[in-house]
Amino acid sequence: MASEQHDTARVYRGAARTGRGRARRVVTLFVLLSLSGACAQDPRKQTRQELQTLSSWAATLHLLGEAWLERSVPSRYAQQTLHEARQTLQEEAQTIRQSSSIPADARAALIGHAQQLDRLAGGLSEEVQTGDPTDTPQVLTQVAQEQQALADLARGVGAR
Amino acid sequence: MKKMMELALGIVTSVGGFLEIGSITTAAQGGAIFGFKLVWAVLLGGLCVAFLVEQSGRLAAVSGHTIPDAIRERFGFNYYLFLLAVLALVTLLVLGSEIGGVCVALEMATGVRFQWWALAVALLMWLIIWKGTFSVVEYGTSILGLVTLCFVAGAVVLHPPWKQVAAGAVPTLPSHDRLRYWFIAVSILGASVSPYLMFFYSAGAVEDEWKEDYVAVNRFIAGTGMGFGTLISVAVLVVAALVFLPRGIQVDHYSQLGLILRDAFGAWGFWLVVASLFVACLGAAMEVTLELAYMVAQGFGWNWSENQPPKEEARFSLTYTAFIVLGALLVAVGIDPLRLTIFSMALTAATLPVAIVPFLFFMNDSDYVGEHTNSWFSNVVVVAIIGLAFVLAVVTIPLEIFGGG
Repeated sequence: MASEQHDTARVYRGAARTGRGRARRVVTLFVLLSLSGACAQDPRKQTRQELQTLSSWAATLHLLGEAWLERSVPSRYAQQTLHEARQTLQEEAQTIRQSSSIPADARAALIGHAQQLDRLAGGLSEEVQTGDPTDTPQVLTQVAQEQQALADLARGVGAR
Repeated sequence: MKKMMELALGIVTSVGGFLEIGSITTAAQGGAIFGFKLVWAVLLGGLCVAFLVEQSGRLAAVSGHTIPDAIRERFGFNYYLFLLAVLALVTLLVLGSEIGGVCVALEMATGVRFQWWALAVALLMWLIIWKGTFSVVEYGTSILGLVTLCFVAGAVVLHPPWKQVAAGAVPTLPSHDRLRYWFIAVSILGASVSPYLMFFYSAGAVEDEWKEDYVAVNRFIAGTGMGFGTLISVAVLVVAALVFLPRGIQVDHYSQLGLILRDAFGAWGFWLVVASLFVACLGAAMEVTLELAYMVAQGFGWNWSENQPPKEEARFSLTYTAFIVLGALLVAVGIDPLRLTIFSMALTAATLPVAIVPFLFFMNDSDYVGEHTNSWFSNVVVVAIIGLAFVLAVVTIPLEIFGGG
């Protein structure tokens, strides 16, 4: 058993020595790829990513609003999720504003949608807080309009 | 009769204890973004884990060795220390994710932010482990974990196109977001083939005093239990594909998971998700904690057993206490549990080779497994899993950078 252990250790050491140079090249390649990836974002890809995030949260707002109207989810959960949605949408607006790789016209449109969705989430949040769903269907209609607008924009940039 | 009971209990444990935060999150993300296209990744992960768990159980039953113990003996203390350093770090992140999952379930139920629950959850875990026995930790949470079968019921209620689900068992590339597709596939595999599961299973076999005559029982439990468990993961993916994909909801935040069973069960759906998340993550968090303590204690040759009073194994008890505190701190400082989960699952995939390669040696060494050495087929499967593990280790970091989205 002891000699087997010794042999195993020797094999590992040998493999480590010959593999060290190759490993160093692979690590260097990863670092270079990472840096190039970080520096040169494809404008269409980034626009698509931001659109997907906004569309995802718009759909979440819609489903959550419907579920809350049906009393399928508790108000505490709805309130917390709306808080998360607003926080994410505000962060997204900030990210889009600071992004130099998204074309200016697309940037303005995306920021507008993020802000509008944030406002609608705020409206829903107030209704959940007061427990009065009177205006909720109207807010949900507006959310659906936003979803449609985002889908149209996505088709424009060739997203799925 | 005793063995039949253990067989039934073993299968229930494997089924009820299969889901954890990583498998729920990665399957839900996969289904939400790529529909049924990643069913193959869940199945492949389940198949790999069934083979590896069977072998770790066989090793423990025949040799009486747990995996860390056998690694130290067969490969020497230096390799054991290297493995301990790598796996302890990654498993600690997994522990943080599981504690985060319990806290998120409590946040969904109460509206109180998840960070505030971290220390309370840590205390609950510590009390159960401190006061309870191995059976309480393993069987208690796994039996409660049967609530996760709600995902299977949900998938059936929603009437998925079964042909398309079955077609997902064959890998096909999507037309969009290919890097993200591969990143989620790797994360699904990382969530399934967790070294902690194998290490915990082998320690459990020793705790339950399995002997050589348990080899057949072990094989049945590993195959059937992991098979059914994998079906639950597939069900999570299917439900996400049916509920989230048509609406365009990606799982960007845990709170979105609260809506996943709404179409299937209405108001009950929300509470079933909360209960599933709470029980599955609590069970997994305790298993991960014990596995970390086992890994340290077994390697250093300390007394270890969840069935002994803490005063008889002070170092083992101190180790799990320390890991619980560290895991809870990751959550208490406010690290996003979803990001922590995805990151830790990808890192788990990257560390798989160091944990899996030793299997090939043990399972062909008659000093350890006597006449129960691997058949040529089992060896081919282990070599294939090791090959897969190396590929995952190489591609994980670039995918984390480019596909993590």
